[in-house]
Amino acid sequence: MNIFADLKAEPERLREQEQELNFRENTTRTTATSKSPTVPPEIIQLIIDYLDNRDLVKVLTLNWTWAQLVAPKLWHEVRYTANQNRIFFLITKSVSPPSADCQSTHTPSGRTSSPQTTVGSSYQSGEPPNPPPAPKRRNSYPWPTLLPYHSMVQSLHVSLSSADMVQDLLDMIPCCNELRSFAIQSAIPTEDLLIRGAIASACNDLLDPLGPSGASSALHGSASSASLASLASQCSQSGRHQYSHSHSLSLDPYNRTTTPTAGLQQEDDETIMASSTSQSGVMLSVLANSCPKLESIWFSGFHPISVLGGPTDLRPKPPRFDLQSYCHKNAQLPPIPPVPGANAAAAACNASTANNHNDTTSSTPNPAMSMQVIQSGIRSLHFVNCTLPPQYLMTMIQHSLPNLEELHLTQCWRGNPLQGSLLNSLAKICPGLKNLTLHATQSHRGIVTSEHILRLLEGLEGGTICSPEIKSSRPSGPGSRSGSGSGSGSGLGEGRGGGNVGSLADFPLGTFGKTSYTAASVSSAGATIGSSSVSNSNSSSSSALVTLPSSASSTSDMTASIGADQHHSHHPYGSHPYQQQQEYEQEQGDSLARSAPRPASDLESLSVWFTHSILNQAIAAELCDRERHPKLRSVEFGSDDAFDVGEDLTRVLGERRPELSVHWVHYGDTGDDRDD
Amino acid sequence: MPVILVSSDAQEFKVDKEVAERSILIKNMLEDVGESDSPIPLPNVTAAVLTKVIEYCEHHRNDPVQVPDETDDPRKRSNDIEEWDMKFMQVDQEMLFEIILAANYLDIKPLLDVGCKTVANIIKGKTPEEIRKAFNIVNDFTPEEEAQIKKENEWAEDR
Repeated sequence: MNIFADLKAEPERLREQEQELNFRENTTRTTATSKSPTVPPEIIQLIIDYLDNRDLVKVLTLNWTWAQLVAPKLWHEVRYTANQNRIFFLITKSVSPPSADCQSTHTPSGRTSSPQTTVGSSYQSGEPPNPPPAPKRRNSYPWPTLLPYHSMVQSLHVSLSSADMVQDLLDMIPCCNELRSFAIQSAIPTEDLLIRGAIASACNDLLDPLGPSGASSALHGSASSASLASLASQCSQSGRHQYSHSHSLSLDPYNRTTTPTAGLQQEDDETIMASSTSQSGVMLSVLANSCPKLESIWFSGFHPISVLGGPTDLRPKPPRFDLQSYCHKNAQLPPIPPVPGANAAAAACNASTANNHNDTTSSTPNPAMSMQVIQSGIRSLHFVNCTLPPQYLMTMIQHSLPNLEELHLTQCWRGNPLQGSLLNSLAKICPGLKNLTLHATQSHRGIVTSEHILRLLEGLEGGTICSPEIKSSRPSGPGSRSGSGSGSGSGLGEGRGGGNVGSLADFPLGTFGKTSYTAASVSSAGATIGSSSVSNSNSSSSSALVTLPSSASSTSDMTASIGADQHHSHHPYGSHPYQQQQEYEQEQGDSLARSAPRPASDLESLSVWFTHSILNQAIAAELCDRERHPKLRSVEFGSDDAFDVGEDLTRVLGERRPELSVHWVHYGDTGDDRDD
Repeated sequence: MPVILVSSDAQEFKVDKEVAERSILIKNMLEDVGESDSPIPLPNVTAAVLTKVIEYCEHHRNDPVQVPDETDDPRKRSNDIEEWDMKFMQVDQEMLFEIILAANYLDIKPLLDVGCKTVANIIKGKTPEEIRKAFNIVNDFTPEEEAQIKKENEWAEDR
């Protein structure tokens, strides 16, 4: 109960602090203007761009007006590692609320009754604040800052060098409610983070009241998992640590003595995903819930589950949730040590409630804790060098990122690789993508093929140009993310079976002669079938490049040719007879859908390079279609193949659509540094 | 073709269109309205300030249009004020601020640049107390507050 009381009290304290500051700001302005004319605030705003940081710090101390106008310039972008000594000014959540009279003078030494007095005194004397006795790891700022720096931070870059930083971030982020961009790069072994994240996930499942199924089902689910038993054991061991941050939002169960004994396996992902069924996303949850203006997130160098937690379900929650009965029920359970993220997530949810998101009708006993329709505003997602299970990514997009417009995946295809089939599903759950990047410098022949990319492009569609007839002809189309995505797993068969999957017949470009098309399709099929047949196809198809069609008539024999060429070809993952039957039926439906004009996509830029050839005639034809991709402005393809047909196709594409910025990434250009 | 500008105190200024169009605001207005003899009201600019602004625009009427460069950090070029501009900006502080505000309102980037650089140069190299004196700023911090806010932000000096 104490935890929830703290959770409820924390945002209140912050609000009080901000109100106090606003009051001071207004009072100060009145006082300053009444005495004598001075530099108008507009002038201050205009000149701060012309001052270096040393001067900015100087003018910050001139008076309150200058301080309030200049500080946002300094705190606009925070690089955690570069300016670590300011981070503890952002970690203030464990601080007792100041009294009103104390705040009016802001004399740290006057706060003698505060438990943090010792820390405050040492800080005032010029030494860095001493952390509480055990464990000595954090330097939280011991009293409220003079200005609300949290709300000035719009861009946060973190280079994760210790697991403790995760905890600090979880304390900071819920207060950074103006955050627009978040980037995190990890230098910590993923296994370390994963163990930490797994413990958090397991405990969150037990603790977090936000889950739709409540505590009992979470407990039942956890108990049924053998691996979670061991996690719970680790968790209880770590719970023996005594932390003096009694007001901290969460405690750190991370066991420093734990030594990872094995690398990550597919099963690990599944276990963790299973343990974090709906609500145990940690950092992602905090980000999405407490930073309503967050638009872009960038992750590099770690397994996302280890830090972000499981994908958070940000879809509308049941409006009626009896917090009191939940707490009462929990009080009967054995004590469970607090864990990172659980409390922060709840606090963040509470804060988001106060931030008046769309209301749902609620009659819960405590309105402050009523569930809201939470909708993440994150538009851009960038993973670099991450071990990224497809299931995780798909669930994340579907549940947590309803407004995703940009997806950048760089070097995320090895280890536990994303598969091409993911791309098929991607178009279904995220058809409104505007910017897409798929890069890898390691061989992925057979994992990502031209056909996958083509299916993805064909599946994209915007939300504006779509006639009712077209919509009605495609009942399970990709327009609705909540409906179509849930069943779109990562299997290729499912990916092919989507209601909106088109084919070359959809491209109103072709007057392919049958001979020339067949020649081209050899290349196409060769490139798409996979590793067994792709390697020798490039040079033989070069002659077909110049036949890229330009007129807008498509022919039935072309369709037939495509059907014979693509659908009767060797399937890279094999195909069950029943599955073949399903595919056949689906294709019949698809052919009907193809007869209707397809809605235009929102695609603006596309960058794809792998070591093997991807760009083929079909993809080029798709991209040539102005009606399908009217907003397209930038196209980039590349491979390590010395004689890739794609190079010529990019040239032709550029000629057909001169408004496009078309680039071919030459052999040897595909270095990591392009994205890091 | 001349353009008639009307200041906030109802004074009329007849200037060449070429000169008036140094202001992006006026340029856009003229493009929107089309050929017209109607005077253009500038309610935020007094006659004294408008005189100075027109003087600046007359002098720079043949300058190439500045292309905004996002990578160009204004902090790195606060000392590159031309001699004529420097003399032009030798006015009392009130007028200096009025010119900056007018340049901002009329969207005359080069004039805004020069004005802000002039103010920034006044600040540079001075102690906070000297800056307060230069701009007649009242220090409403307590000594503790001043020390604390400096402490909270001094990290930026190393950045």
